[in-house]
Amino acid sequence: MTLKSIAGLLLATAAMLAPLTATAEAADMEALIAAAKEEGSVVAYWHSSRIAKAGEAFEAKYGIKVFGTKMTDAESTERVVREVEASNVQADIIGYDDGPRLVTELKPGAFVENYLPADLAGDIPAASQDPLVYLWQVTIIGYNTERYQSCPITNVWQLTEPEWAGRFHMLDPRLRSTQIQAFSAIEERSGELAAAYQELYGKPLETTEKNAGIEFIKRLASARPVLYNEDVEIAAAVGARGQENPPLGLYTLGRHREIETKNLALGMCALKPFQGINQPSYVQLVAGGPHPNAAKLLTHFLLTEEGVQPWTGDLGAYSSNPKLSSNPGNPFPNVEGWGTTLLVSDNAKVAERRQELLDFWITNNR
Amino acid sequence: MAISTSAAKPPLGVRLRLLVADLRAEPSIAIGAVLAVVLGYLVLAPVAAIVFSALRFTRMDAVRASAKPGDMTFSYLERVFHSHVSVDIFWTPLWNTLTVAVFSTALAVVFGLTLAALVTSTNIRGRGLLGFLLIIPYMLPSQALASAWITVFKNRRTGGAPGMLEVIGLTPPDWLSYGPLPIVMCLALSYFPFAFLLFSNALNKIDTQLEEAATTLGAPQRVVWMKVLLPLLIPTTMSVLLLTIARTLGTFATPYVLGAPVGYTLLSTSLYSSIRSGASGVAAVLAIVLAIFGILMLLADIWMVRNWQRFVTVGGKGGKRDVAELGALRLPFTAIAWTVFLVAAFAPLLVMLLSTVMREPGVFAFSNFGLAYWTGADGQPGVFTSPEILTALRNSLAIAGSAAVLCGVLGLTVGYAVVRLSGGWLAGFLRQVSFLPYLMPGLAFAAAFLSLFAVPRGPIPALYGSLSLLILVMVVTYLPYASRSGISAMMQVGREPEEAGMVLGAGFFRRILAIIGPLQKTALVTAIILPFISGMKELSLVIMLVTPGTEMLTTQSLRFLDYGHTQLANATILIIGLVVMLLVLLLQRITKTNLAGGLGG
Repeated sequence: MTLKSIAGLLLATAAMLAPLTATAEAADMEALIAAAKEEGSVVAYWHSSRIAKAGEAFEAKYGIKVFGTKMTDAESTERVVREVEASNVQADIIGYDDGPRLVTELKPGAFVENYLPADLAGDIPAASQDPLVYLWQVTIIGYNTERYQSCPITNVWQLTEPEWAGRFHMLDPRLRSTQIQAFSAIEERSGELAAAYQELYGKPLETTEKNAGIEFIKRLASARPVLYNEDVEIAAAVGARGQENPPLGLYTLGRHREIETKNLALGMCALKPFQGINQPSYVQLVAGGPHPNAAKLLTHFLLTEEGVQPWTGDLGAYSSNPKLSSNPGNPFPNVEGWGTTLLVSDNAKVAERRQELLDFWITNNR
Repeated sequence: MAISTSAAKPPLGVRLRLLVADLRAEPSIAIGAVLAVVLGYLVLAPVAAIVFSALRFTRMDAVRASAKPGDMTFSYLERVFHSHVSVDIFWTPLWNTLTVAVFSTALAVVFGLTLAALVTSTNIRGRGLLGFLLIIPYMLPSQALASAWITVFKNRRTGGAPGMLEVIGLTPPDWLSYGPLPIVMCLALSYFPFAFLLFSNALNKIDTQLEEAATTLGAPQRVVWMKVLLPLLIPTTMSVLLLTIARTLGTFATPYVLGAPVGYTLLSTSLYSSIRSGASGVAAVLAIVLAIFGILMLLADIWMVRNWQRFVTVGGKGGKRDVAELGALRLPFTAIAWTVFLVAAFAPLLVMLLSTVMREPGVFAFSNFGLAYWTGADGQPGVFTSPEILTALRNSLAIAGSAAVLCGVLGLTVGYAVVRLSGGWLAGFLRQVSFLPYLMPGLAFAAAFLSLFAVPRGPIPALYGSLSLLILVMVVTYLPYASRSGISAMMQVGREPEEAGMVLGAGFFRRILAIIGPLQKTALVTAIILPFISGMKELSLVIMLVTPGTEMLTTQSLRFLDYGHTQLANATILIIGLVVMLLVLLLQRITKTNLAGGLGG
């Protein structure tokens, strides 16, 4: 049998089975909706305030009220752990950014449960299934398009040069755990960083540190980037018009909507060996939550076009369900398009290294 | 009160009935006991929680250290005081904190003393008006000056709306825009009214006969000041020094706004970033350090009051001091005094106001002025239509208002119990416990409340995310002021009026309503308005506890600054200033005094 015919056979089998599974799934779905409606409402602690909009859409569709509260991961962890320990669970579902904390604390402690809607198991990539990712948000390095024709650098090592000392703006790693996650991913890509160094300077990297990634973090820290609490200001600092020496900045791609709304001159740098960060956001059910079915239905809803629209309607955000659309202004229509140009961290490795990486940053950022 | 236990004991039933009757007639013991339990829980539990979390593994750290959460550990102490990051977490912030405290306090004392001398004792122009105007910075929230500073001196280091100087083509250097210099200046300018108030009071109280004696003996004005008045002001100077240093140590908003962009960290901002990054063990250790500083300041104050007692020479005799004729120096001194007012109060207010009515900052063209930031334009809501500001205003009024009422009532109740039970251990306990929150830094206290009341505890439901948590933490924090004034107010009412009522058969509640209430009306109103003012201005206490929907005006203004919306931040601060000024005027009307009557908080 040729490869083609095998594929043909498989397709035919799948086509034959599809209606069967589809009807089973449809029945399951109907049962879930009925049970969820019975519960009437769902309480969500969320990493993003847009849960309010998603909640309105959910209520409009199913008539189930969503009580969504924006919280930092530290806050929602604190509350979920205490609620479960006190057997007085208020929350049903959480939206969460801190993957390392999720896999080392909340999941092993059985404070949360993963739920993957059966009908979507075939669509969501395996790596995003447990813990379930519902959203990817792209962070990029941007430059001022009024002052520069194209990005003034081509390689991340240039950020550590004297020219950009004090002229690179990023979130404060002491306040934002996402930066530490990026450091861990940088460490994992030491080989590429060493090669990029060789390519830029024509000589091999000399370092007394453990690897090229650590050396990069050290040099970046000693170049004293300007640190922020929120990335709105980073985009504004980079993109404000009329600057002679505008800085470069690391901020979420979503800020590029402010090119229109705030008249900012922002452009995206294409850099070697990476040009930004791809940050997953997770959705998890709280163990013993009072509205488990509504929480499952909301999870399902967030993996559909209308549910994730409040996020993916904007630039730089993608559903983990590759079948769904994204903002037409994005450089790539789906998250796979970015390939390896974005840093993606490994939760277990971050959990193991976060304290050392933070301390390493602090001691070199003096 | 005390039950007679002499000779043959009456049967139990009779004794119980006696006890109940006794309590009904004179329930101060019952009130004291209830207060002791409630305050013990609300004050001691958070303090204990802070100490515990400094010494026990958090869940996150326990996983890494392969220990159980809650296991005893010294790792947080070690991390803060003796590790490779302790320089960054503790020692540098400590050094910065001390530097800022010393310089801003010194400046505040110099400004305060000079202006108090000029306003109370010389013939500079506009003295009466200055007496009020110079206190305006005190009515603004602590981030007001920092926000005004940023509005003018902000440079391209940070994003958002550019600073006014930047717009007209002058780029201020970093050391002028951020870091120690602006922090010291802003703190000095916002704390000097406090020194000014205390020095003015002291100067007005000093027996003028002492000066007259010196003048009669032929001493010139200069000698009178150097040899008589200034030495007499030493005790006041000491308490001004201590109080200002204590305030500077815990201050958060100014170093946060002006220090963060250049990485200039104080203990308070280091504590904030520890809490924000989830390092609650480290945060607890830092909080304890700040609390120890508070205790040291208090002990120093007690020691000083004891040792300088011999200096206190308030005679209460003699008339008002004759105003010194400055002659040729009148004009320059008038100019100095008014300049301080212009720089410390008028200019910041003007800058903030201007920033909210100019479309592009720093462009002084007529067409550039408009009310867009107030009424909204281009689909962006303005101050009057912004749901955030309106919610924050409502929350601020609701939270500070209810906290103030509760605090005033509670303060007088504590006063009643302490005075009626005076001498007993219960009175001593109430007095001490109600004063304890004074020593805790607001940020630390808030952190403890957060971890205590995030979940239901006993009869108390989970309060986090509701207004009641903010009200509760405010009541406890302002209790020291309220209970102090409650105690002193109750001291002035003897037992006799109440006993007369008792003889006439009035029950407890009747006595409170008909006798104590009317007598303490002014005290109660004062005890409510003062915490109300503090509550409107409060930031460090509530910054950790607000959630979306429970934002207050002060925290909302900080959010606006975080997001680079300087104009909206300024508008929010102006609203706070306006509300506080109305409250101050109301207070003056009711108490028929001027402000010099000692503002707390």
